Amino acid sequence: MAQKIEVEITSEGRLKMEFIGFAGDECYDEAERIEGMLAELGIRAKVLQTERKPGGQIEAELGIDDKDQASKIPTEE
Amino acid sequence: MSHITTYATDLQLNPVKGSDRSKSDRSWQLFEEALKTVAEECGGYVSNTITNYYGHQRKCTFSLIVPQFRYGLGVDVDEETGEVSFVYDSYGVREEVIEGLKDRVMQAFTALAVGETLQDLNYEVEFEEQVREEEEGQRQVMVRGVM
Repeated sequence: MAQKIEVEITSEGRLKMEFIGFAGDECYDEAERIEGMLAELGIRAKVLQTERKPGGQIEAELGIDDKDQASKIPTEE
Repeated sequence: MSHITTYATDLQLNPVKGSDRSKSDRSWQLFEEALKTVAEECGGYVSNTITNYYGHQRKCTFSLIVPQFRYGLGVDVDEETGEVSFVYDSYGVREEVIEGLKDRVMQAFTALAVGETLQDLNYEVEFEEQVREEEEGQRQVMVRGVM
């Protein structure tokens, strides 16, 4: 699964950044990196809201299906 | 984890006076590029003077001259602080025309900066502009990066 970042820039100057297909806390690290690089270019971005995606959506983005999940669940022999 | 974050943005170019930076600093270059983008879209050009109602000229760091605002939208950038301020004579021009131009400049600058940032992080970048009829023709720019 490719990692994607979709950024919507409104005419009021708001930025909405969506991280797709990131595992663990990678997306937060990437967001921090982007904020720093934007600051270097003259844009100070102040966080208004952060929304975590539901687990099911993240699994779908990462391509984890039911079969994969089942294999991770320990079973009694 | 994947997430969605919404940000408010504020513009301040890199200070160039008394530092080892110059006007060839990337933030200044990108800002000029944003002005050129808007000028091209509106059939105008970028200069460094504006005119007032009486025809008097005033120098500024950059100016955007477009058919809908012939006096020009001036931009002063403080070389010591990088602070950006708009300067213009609005006499006889509807305020929403001027506000619309300012918003477009800021939006173009932000889009260019985001695009460049994603490219530097090795994403493949594409831009898309959308006009939302249901929101009184509000323009929004989408920048997509794929790794």
